[in-house]
Amino acid sequence: SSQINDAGSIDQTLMQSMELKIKEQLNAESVTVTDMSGDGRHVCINVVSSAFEGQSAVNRQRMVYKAIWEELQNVVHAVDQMTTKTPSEV
Amino acid sequence: ASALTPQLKDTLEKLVNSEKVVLFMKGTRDFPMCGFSNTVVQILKNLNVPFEDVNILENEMLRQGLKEYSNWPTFPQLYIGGEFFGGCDITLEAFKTGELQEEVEKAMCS
Repeated sequence: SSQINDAGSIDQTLMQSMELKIKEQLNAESVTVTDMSGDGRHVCINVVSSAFEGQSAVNRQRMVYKAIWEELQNVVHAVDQMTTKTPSEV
Repeated sequence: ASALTPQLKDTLEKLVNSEKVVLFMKGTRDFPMCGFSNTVVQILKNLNVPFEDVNILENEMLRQGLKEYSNWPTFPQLYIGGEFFGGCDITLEAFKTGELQEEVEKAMCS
């Protein structure tokens, strides 16, 4: 029962699953999804992927959003900050 | 199941073209219900741009449909000249660089 009550670990699982989805779908070099609010409702996302090459800022964010669309309909209320870079922009 | 029926898509297309600048937000321009929505309102007011504000909290069907229409899952959403421009951070960045004003002026003249 201690695990069920441990909201922190559920949020960590959610963050990790979002990281994995972004990483796989965008073939990303690095992905970090950070829980900013402690309950998974506000997150901060940083992605480095060569898939962003030649894409506008809007399209880059769209690509990330597409990978975690489901999570954004449920738990996650807002993405406080998102950076989308290509390896050469890092 | 998709929230975006052909009929709703038609309605949204008319809505995003109803004014040169349309802001879909949480709350209204006078009573924003979210900091991100408020930021975009303040930017548009600062640029002295006439715009239509649509409170997506008052219409769940519109809210869900627009996410798919824009391929953008969060709000606010700013439309300029019938085209999706961005959310809060893209709009703020474009405001700082002057790109936003350029886009707005282009839309106003067309």
